[in-house]
Amino acid sequence: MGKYVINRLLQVIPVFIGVTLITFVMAHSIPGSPLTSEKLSESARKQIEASYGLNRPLYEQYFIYIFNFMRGDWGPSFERKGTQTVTEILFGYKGTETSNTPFWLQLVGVLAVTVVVVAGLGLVWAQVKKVDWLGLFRSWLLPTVLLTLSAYLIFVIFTLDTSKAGGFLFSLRLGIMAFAFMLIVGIPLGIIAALKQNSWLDYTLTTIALVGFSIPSFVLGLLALIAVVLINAWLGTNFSIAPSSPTTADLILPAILLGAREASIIARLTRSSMLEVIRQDYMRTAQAKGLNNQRVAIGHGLKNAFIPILTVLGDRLAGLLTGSVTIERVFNIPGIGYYFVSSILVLDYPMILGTTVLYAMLVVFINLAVDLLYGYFDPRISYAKGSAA
Amino acid sequence: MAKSTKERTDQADLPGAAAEAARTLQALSNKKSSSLWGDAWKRLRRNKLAMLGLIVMALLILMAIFAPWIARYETDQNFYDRNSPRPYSEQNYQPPSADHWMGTTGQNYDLWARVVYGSRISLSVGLIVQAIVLLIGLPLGLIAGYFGGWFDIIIMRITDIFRAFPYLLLALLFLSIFGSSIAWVYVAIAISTWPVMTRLVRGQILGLKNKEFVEAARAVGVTTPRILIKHILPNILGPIIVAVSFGVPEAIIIEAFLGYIGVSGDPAAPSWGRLISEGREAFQSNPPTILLFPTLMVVLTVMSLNFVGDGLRDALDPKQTNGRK
Amino acid sequence: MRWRRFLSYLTLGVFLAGVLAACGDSTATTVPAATTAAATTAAAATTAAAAATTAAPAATTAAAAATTAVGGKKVDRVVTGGTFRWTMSGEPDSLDPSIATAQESVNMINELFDGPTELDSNLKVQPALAESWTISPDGKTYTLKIRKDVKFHNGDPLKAADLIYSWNRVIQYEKGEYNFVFDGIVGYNEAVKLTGDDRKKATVSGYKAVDDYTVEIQLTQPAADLLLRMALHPWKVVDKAVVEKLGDKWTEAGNLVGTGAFTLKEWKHNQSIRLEFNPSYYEGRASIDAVSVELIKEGATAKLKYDNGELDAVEVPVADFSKVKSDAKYKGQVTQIPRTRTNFIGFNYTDGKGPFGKSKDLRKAFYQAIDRRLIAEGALQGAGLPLNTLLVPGLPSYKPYDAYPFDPAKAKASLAAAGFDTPDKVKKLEDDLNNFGPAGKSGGFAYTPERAGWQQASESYVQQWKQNLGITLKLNPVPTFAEFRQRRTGDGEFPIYFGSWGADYPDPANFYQPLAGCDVSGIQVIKYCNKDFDTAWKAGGAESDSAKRDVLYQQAEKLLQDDAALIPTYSGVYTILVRPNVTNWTYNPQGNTRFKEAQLKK
Repeated sequence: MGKYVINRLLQVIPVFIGVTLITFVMAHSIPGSPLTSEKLSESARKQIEASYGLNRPLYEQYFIYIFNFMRGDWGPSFERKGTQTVTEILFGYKGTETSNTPFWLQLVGVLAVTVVVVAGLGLVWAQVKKVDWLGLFRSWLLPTVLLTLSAYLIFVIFTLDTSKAGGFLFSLRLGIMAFAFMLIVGIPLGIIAALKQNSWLDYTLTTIALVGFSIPSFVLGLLALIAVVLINAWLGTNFSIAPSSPTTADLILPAILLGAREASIIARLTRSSMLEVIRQDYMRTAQAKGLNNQRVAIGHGLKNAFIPILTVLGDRLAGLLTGSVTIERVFNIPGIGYYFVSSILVLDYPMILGTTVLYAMLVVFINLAVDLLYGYFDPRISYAKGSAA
Repeated sequence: MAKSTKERTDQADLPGAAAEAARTLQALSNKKSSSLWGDAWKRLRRNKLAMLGLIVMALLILMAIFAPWIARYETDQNFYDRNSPRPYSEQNYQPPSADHWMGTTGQNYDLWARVVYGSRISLSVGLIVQAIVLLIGLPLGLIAGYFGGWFDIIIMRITDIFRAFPYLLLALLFLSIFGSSIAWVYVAIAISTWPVMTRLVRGQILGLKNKEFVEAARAVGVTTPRILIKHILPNILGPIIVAVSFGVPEAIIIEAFLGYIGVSGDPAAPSWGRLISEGREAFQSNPPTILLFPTLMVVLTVMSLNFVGDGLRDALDPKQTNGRK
Repeated sequence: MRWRRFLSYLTLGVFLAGVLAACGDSTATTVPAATTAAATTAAAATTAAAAATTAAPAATTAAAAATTAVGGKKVDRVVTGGTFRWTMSGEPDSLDPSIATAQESVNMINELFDGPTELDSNLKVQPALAESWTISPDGKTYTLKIRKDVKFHNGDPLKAADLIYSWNRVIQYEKGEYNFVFDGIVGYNEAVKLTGDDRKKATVSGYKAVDDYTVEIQLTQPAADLLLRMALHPWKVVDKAVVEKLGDKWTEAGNLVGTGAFTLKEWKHNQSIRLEFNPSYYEGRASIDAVSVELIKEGATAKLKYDNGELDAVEVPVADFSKVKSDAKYKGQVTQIPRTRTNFIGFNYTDGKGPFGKSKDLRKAFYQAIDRRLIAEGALQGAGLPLNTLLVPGLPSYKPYDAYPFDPAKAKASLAAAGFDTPDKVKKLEDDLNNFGPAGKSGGFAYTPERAGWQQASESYVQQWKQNLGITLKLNPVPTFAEFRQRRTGDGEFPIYFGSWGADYPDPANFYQPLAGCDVSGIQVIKYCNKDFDTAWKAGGAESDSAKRDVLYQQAEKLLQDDAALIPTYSGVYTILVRPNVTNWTYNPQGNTRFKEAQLKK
């Protein structure tokens, strides 16, 4: 398993090189200059471009970028005339830290405490019950550590001060909430639709899911805002819409809208995945043994049906966490979705690369996590053979 | 038996409904395909929703083909009354009427005409994008899955790279480089969505290539291209068709989104997506039908195609009928 | 004689006051619902004429200002308190006057810093840090007297050396895009040619501090627009001690120090900005206590926030223009302000880049086939005013002139006169234009949909040529302005394209030089070169007598239009919703807001 993880981590390298290289070449192939002011004479423009190093050969610029990137310097944002760096815009401005302890140290601390507590309890448990502590370690320590870490991360994400935050924090909050909505709504709906296959309930749920899937989110978002304004006018309430520094409560409505579309996809997937599992032989056996149909479905079926869902969830998660261009725009959430579009429109090369690399790394690591989770959901999978894949 | 992660994940990685269709379809590999298609069609005909979807799609395609006869007006014909004392700005955005079934737009163009001609763009985006996706994804998936080894490693790494791109950013970069004519819109959307198809095909092949009938064909000396085309391709057609039927609406929605940013296609021939984004800007102060009608068209198309896709999946799944009580 | 030049600027200011009065002076007046774009222009012209009489007293005071001190006084404002809730569409690119380029940045910088002069709500030059100035008889030396009672937000007193330091900072910043506002000062050209470390130490010899409160500026040749240019943001003064101590983070809230009417209380990047009044402002404190600025990218969302009672003023998205004016809900809240931005159809004059450069008749045909009312009122919902000249109404020396009125029959005749007298030849022209450049990529009518209104206007042009000339040009949208600008300027590749120009400062020189001058070293939007035209506007720029200047500039405009050098189509209009309790708030034709005089009634 260790070898498998290392192998997968090594695969990050070709993906990183490929993504940066392709993005870099494509971004620089777009005709035009990041200096968009119509007031600049050609000679002045050339001089300023030279001072940014844009007159160097492309390969040189690429290597300089990669070198700086490795040192954590993602370059200045051209859109902000170099007064803000890409890392500042994405991850936060100076003074973001709320405590004096660096974030990585906090993480290590939490990790250490979890490991010690879980390992200690595990050892005691192994002594008492006389079981193989290595097996215990694998089946309990790893999931517990991962869960604790994620819980701590989510806690940090939702408690950080936002006044100097970068866009990623807002996108993360929105994404996590939308993801939660998608899980809480999508999966149960899918299960219900599967258990009541071909009933009116099934058809209704399917239709709702399809309508949710087919109305573009930039339309839905605006309609929701108008609804709030009308509610305020009719009921005399005083709900603020689209505040520019949204709190967690302000993100609920956009998260629901963003999650609704994803939920409709997941619901449909869960439905068909469940349908297939229900028809498997072992499920019939369970039913034959007289177990309650629905309990069988949820108890035995869901775990098996979860594998294809898990993959799609992984893909969707990366998309959700990097923000939605439209929902963020309509609800005025200062996330990073905006930069995926604006960076190209104003030819902000470092920002184009920064957003792409951020997304790519998220995709790679989430996929790795998903592959590791398969082991939990499907014990038949062994990681021993996964050498090059 | 323990499956390798490689095989397992690649099947599981397929998007949405295509994934489970893919798995169930493996059971078909032993059957003769002719009877399979006959049975599938029978089952599909019994599915009322799927048939409804097929009829609506047929009507929409007819509308696109016969647009000049249905549209009643040109898309760039405006209806200003030069003699009216009302300024032109107050003659815009007319509500629906007998003359203008869906009302008029901000430049006083007939919305019905624009919606009818828009079907050409939106439907062609859906279909051509999927054609390009097949053109790239199918051969790459076949090669990676069947030959394995270095082919597989290289193709899958390339797929990984493209999957790691935010699809919107890739499409935008593409359109910024090559210009936003409709031909490049097809390519841009296809380029950002093809890895899904490659992974689907590869996963299917991995499950098939060691089956008895393929081994047998190889043993009697059938050439590799022939095995691929005659023996393997027919057996993976089902999941591919399903994937395409879901890919078409996805492409239409991506195009709508590109239209919203304003980088899609020829502005003189607006797609539904562009009409939606124009309507979105105007519907607060003007008749909301300006937004309603184009949105309805997209919803109608997406729903019909999904019903057809659902129907196809069920029809092509032999276990479905067995399992039904 | 010196004061007469200044008088001309005043006339401009008063003229603009007339325009503003006609369209609603910022906040108080409302445009009647039925007012059409055309009516607005007409009204503007008459009011301006009426206002000319009132110009005299104003001129006398200002004339005094040119030779003796009139600045340096305090203004007694009614303090209303309250927070003005405003929105901007994006994060300022920087609040450092030497770096900033975006409109959002400039609007904030104007509140936080001061320069030697400033523009008032009527685009008139007013003394700011300089309480008076004298101009030498040859027009090449300006001596500014600096106010002695100005303090930075942190209490540091302002001295002449701070001005020199701030201006040199602008020059020394090699990536700065706005240092051209110092053009014409002795030593400027030499300084901006330097690169690297030399540039970081560059100084301009043309301005120097004579003593603590006197600055002298030397020009290479007389420039009538210098006082106007001094009101622009690169001339604003920063505190040397603060800048040098804090480095590139000196513009953050809590660090930033200027002399302006407001201080930077809070700057949540990409979210919001909060300004609070400066109690020790040299003119006397602002009427309101604070300005809170929310950064909202989506226009529709901003308007909904106004509807929801969360903003005091908002710009109306184009699609809502005509209906907002007639909606009872917004009665008394609509203000329209004509912009100093000119939009036109440009031709390519480079050899081998299309048929237009060589054929005046062809240009004339395209000119006569455009009905401006259809664009301004139809396509743009009234977000534009029909325009027949390169200069926009409201600029000095502007005079209405319509060289080739809309006339489809004459347009066809001109097309025939250009040699396209048979359907075959017209078809050939159409094909050539549509397939211009490699793979036809430069063909058709080029524009970029990234700028508001260009899409609609371009659709309308193409539709009118199709209808009136029988030539169907394809629309050629270039996805980004960055690319469009690059491919259009210099030896641009498009035979025919969308042109647009917004004034940096309200002066004809700022239009003619970049748009149509023969000088290839500067900014050139169109590469049109006509020696007679060049002579005329250059003579206008050097002329100190305003009446003679008007004649020369109008002659230049006539030369330009008679040659159909470009097809002016519309000038922009801002439509703004302002709550009735807001008064004295300024939103000028340049798109600049000023908050220091704004009042909020309870």
